[in-house]
Amino acid sequence: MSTWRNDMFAAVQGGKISMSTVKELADRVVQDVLHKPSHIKYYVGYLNEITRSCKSNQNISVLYIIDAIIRAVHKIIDSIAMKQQHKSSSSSSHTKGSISPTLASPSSSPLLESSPSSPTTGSSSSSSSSSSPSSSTPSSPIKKPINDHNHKHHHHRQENNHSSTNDILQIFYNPLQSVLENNEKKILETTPEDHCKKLIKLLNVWIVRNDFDILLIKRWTNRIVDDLNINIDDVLTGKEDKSSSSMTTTTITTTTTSSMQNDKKRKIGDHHNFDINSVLDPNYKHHKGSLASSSDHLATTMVPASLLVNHSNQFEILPNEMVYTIISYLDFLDLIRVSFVSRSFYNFVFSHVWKKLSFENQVISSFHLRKIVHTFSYVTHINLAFCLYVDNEAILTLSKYCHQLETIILSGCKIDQDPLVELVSQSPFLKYLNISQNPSSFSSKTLFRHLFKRIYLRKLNISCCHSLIFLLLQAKKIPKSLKSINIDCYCGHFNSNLFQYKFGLETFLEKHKSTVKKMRIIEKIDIISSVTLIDTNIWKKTLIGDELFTKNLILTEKHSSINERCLLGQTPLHVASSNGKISLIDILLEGGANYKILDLYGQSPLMVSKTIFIAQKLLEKGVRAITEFEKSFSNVIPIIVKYFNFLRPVHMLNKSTEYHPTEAIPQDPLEEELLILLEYVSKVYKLSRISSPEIFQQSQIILSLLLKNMDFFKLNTAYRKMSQDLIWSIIKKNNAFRMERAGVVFSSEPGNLRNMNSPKYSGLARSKVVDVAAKDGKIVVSSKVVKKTASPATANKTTTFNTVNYRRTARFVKNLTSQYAPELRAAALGRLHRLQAVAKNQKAAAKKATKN
Amino acid sequence: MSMSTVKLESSDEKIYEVERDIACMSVTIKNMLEDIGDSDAPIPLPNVTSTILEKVLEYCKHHHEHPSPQPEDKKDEKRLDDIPPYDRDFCKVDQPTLFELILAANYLDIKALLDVTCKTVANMIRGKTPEEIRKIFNIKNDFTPDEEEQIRKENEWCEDKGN
Repeated sequence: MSTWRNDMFAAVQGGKISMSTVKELADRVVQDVLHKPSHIKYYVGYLNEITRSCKSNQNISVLYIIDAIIRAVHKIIDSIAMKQQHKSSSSSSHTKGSISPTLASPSSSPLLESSPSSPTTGSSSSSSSSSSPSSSTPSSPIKKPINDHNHKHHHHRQENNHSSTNDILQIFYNPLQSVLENNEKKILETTPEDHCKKLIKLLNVWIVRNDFDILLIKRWTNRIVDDLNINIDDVLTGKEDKSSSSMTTTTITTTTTSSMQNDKKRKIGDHHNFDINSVLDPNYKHHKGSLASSSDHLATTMVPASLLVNHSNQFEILPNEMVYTIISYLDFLDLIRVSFVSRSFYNFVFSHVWKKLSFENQVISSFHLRKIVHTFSYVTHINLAFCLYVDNEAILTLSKYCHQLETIILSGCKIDQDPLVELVSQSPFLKYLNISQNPSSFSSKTLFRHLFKRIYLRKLNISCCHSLIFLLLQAKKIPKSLKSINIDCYCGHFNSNLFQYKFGLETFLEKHKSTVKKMRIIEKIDIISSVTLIDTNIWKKTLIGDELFTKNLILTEKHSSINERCLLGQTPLHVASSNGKISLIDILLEGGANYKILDLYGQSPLMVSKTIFIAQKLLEKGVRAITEFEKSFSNVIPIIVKYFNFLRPVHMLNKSTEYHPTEAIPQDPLEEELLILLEYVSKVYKLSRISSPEIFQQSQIILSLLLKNMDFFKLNTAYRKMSQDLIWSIIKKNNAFRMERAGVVFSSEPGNLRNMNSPKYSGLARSKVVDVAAKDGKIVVSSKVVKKTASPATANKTTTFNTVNYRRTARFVKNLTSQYAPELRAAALGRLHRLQAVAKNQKAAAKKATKN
Repeated sequence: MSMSTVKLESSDEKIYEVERDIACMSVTIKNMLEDIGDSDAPIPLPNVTSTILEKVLEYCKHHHEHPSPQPEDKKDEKRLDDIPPYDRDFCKVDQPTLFELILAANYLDIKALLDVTCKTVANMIRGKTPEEIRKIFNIKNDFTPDEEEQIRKENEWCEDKGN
């Protein structure tokens, strides 16, 4: 046994392993274990040891050994089966029956060696056996009868000998599987990419033969496919380069003897409801075309024809209503895409049954809405709550094409009265109308005149539409079907005319108490009536910070209003977050508030956090950042917390300790922190609305603090290499030296030779700067040392000249520029010339002055 | 004891004995039990194979032991990303099994399972191009080129927005 171990180690670690070695090793194991079944544990131990210790590119060799052992076992089992069959079917013994009955006898090895091929000869030898799955194409029609035959044969044998073969299998299967399981991590994670294709093929062979735990193998396959992002079709249908290794799967399969084939088919017969495609799902890409074209190939190399059940469109087995359920989860863009897929899907999407459309909070332009409405003209439920871009025209289109509407939700939409009246008059089946929080307040009675003609109207929500509420309260006649009315207000409009509201409500209730069952009204109204009056909800309680009440409401109302969107589309969580009610956040999130709902401006509760502690709390409580902005926002939070001491106002500090702002300056600023802050601040600038001003301000302060810290720049060499183009694009429209005169833009910084605001002459953006200036009647020529660009104070190398020596100065400038920055030569000389001319004139003028 | 357990018979005549409470998560079985009253005979489920029934029972058992606080009135919310972790793992099965699970959940009337499986399929569709959807579900494109061109034209306005 120890010699086996040494042999195996030598074989695996010696680099390329040959097929014959693998077979030999496997045969030795099988022989030994069949003698003494308990020995398997030693072999498993060796296999575990080698898998753990071998290099990553040798993993595959170990797996091949395991594979070979399993195949040898199959062979043995099959030979038993054959023998049994011969015994029972015919009393005379065949030639094969003369094989010694003891399983482990050496005489079975000649049988093994008589297998028709060795890996090196591969396909040529496969022709020797008629039933072997060679690459000949007409094999599939031949195969079927064989398969049937084997099927019978298998059944027959199963009755006789089921238990003994099973025992043998069990001896090997479980221990070998444990090897795989124990080393799952190493095999899956370290196997080099070029070996993975082989690995997948091997796993596929195991799947087909039903070796090992099928779930384990499937999981492995999926994981490798996932990791490498390769198309499993390509791998399985061939296109392998034979040169890469002598041990490709094809050769392995062709080495199997005819009896092995039988065995394989028996296995398949065992699991006839097992589908090869199902094994590889869901990552398996079903491509009918490629399957059809490659099926012959597949059939001959990998899978017997009987296995190739034509994998049909799974959607066909579903009843229609199931397909509806599935596609009703999709949003409209996906729906349109799905409609391209096939005719039946097109019908599904555009059929008359399609009824509910919800665009809640989606950024949908009225053009798109018109298109959609045009397409889905049989819609009965439409939800356009808080869609910023829905306009009158969209509503008119809606009224023009959709006449079946039962539910219309237009809360928070900016629409005028006329389109709305049009829509109501065109919707005879209207059951529920929600026009709450409409910014354009309208007040004519036309709307109600049309609305009250709708005999099915059950629910009406006109909360926050103040003049409409008064109109409604004065209404003499309302439809008999109207059961539930919402005349709440979240913006405190009625605080000034509370009495009027109360009076109106009292008379309304008196008139219509037999019709209306439920009303939502504003707070602080004490009316006793038979109609159910609800004057509070979680949102209102959150706004005033009433913890106890909110808790009770959450318990009693059972989620119904915890995500209710009131003023500006805000949920109670938004309110708690933006008003800094930190204790309510706990209560709300535990009560099941949804943190993904956005408000009218598209802000999540996280984004509107009043202070960093709110944001911290939200993140602690499991709120996840979803959008890119939220991600950078949540990245900023820990940084602000870190530097919070610096931000803290003086009065909050302990007065006994002196406050030194310099001490609070962070000692070890990290480059990442700067980048995170920069990213956040730049993203905020892109938003139309600053969602959390305090956090924004704080991050700006910290950012400027980090930028001021010059050490930081010295440490971070990356900033010295900032590209000129980048600096230019930052400063070109916004710098202190910029001057606009009569439509022409000049720039006055030192080093700008022509005073033009252009990247060529900019003294700020360029790393190579030549400056020619006049100072106290003298010419000063300076140039920037490129390496010191990041520390401008010491970057300039200066030479001072007297104006007297015109030629010397010019020569110096010429020499300097031609080496340092040839493109600036002309400009520098030109500037020098001008300056000298000016100096000359000045001198002359001064002389004249002294003469006079 | 006969009250606490129920026998279920799958289409391939395997019999499973499960707790009554677990079985009653299926509305269909619950109704059947009410109809037949007190009886020891196994309930035949001719539309469900044993492999699928096993999976369904596994799901029911887990959710019976770990009842999730499902809010009742979430029916209007069509969210695809709220699948609990266990359910997500549960739905990591091959396509035929998944679709059979949908059928079984529909037949047995188990709303939670139906929701979760449908959502899984919807997630597979979401964000894919038509070509990809065809590939994943092996759907034949039965449009003629002219028709396809026309549909594309009709809906090209949504393409640029989607990308």
